[in-house]
Amino acid sequence: MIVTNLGRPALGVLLAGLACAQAVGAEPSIHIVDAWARATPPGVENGAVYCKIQNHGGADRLVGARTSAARAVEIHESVARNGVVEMRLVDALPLDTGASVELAPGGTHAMLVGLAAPLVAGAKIELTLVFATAGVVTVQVPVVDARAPPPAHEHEHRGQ
Amino acid sequence: MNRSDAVAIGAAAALAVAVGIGAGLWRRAAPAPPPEIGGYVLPSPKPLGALALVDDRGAKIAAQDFAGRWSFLYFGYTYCPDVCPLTLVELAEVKKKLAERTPSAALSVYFVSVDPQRDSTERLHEYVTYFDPDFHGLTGDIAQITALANAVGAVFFVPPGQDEKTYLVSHSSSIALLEPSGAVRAVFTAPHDAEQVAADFAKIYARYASRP
Repeated sequence: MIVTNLGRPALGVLLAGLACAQAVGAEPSIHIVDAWARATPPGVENGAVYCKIQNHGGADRLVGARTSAARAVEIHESVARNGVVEMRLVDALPLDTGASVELAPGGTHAMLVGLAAPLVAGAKIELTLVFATAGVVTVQVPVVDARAPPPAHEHEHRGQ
Repeated sequence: MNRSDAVAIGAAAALAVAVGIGAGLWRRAAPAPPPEIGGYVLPSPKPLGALALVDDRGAKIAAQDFAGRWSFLYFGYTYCPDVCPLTLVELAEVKKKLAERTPSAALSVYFVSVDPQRDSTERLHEYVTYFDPDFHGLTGDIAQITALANAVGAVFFVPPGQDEKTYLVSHSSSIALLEPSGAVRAVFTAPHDAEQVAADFAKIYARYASRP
């Protein structure tokens, strides 16, 4: 699943339509919680965003993502098989009715391909997730220095 | 006791003696149990063989340059946004824990690039020192990196059908440990937890540090 910032006109229209559809709806059926982006070392081209996706509606699929912070966003899964780890592109991430799916380090993540600039701890980036049914959901994603303890304790920076 | 009973008892006794001797021989032939770790300890250290690599500061690195310290080797690449940073964060934690737990053990951590085409020494330097100022990057000709991977039992490859600029590389998730002779002593298998790796290293260090 790749949605570039340039996008194709048809997709742009589709997204606009979905955004309107969501705007007139009542409670959004998809909630994104605990989103964070890994702060990146200088010179690095790619980043990763993690979050929990809670689906309070019917069965849905995460089918795309985009951000102004990178050239493209791809949903990837780090798969360890026979002692070898590889990243696999996920075309569509299924979300069952009422399911909560976690994008977490070492597993599924939103890979930011071609960062416009390094992700610096304390900054925020905007990430737009595109769902087949629920439409677009935009979240503000804090950049966290993952050398410190997990994001829930991000104030306890250990300072390497 | 009739004759067949006597034969049976005799045969059983002979078998028991044979089994006993066999077990004794086996015990002498097989190595003593290694320390139990999240991974495996080699029965005897395995030398690396000849190598000609380059570190992130541009210095030439040969196999003998690993001598005199315990070296942790992890294979990855700077384009890897998830597993590689995750493992380097754990290794930085391991280093901190071992500074307290085994302060007499001299340690080095090496991040070996499986992507020398894109990972320049400058990029590797910025990358590895972000995780710990003492970490080292290693790169070089693909043949030399492959030789090092072979020596420590690691693999890496570029899955086919990818863009030539944005390709991903599959690589071993394990961490190899070299002992101060420069030979491979152990392999830590994923998932890596800093506490576990530190505890495992302490066991290996206690067992093998005094007899190289």
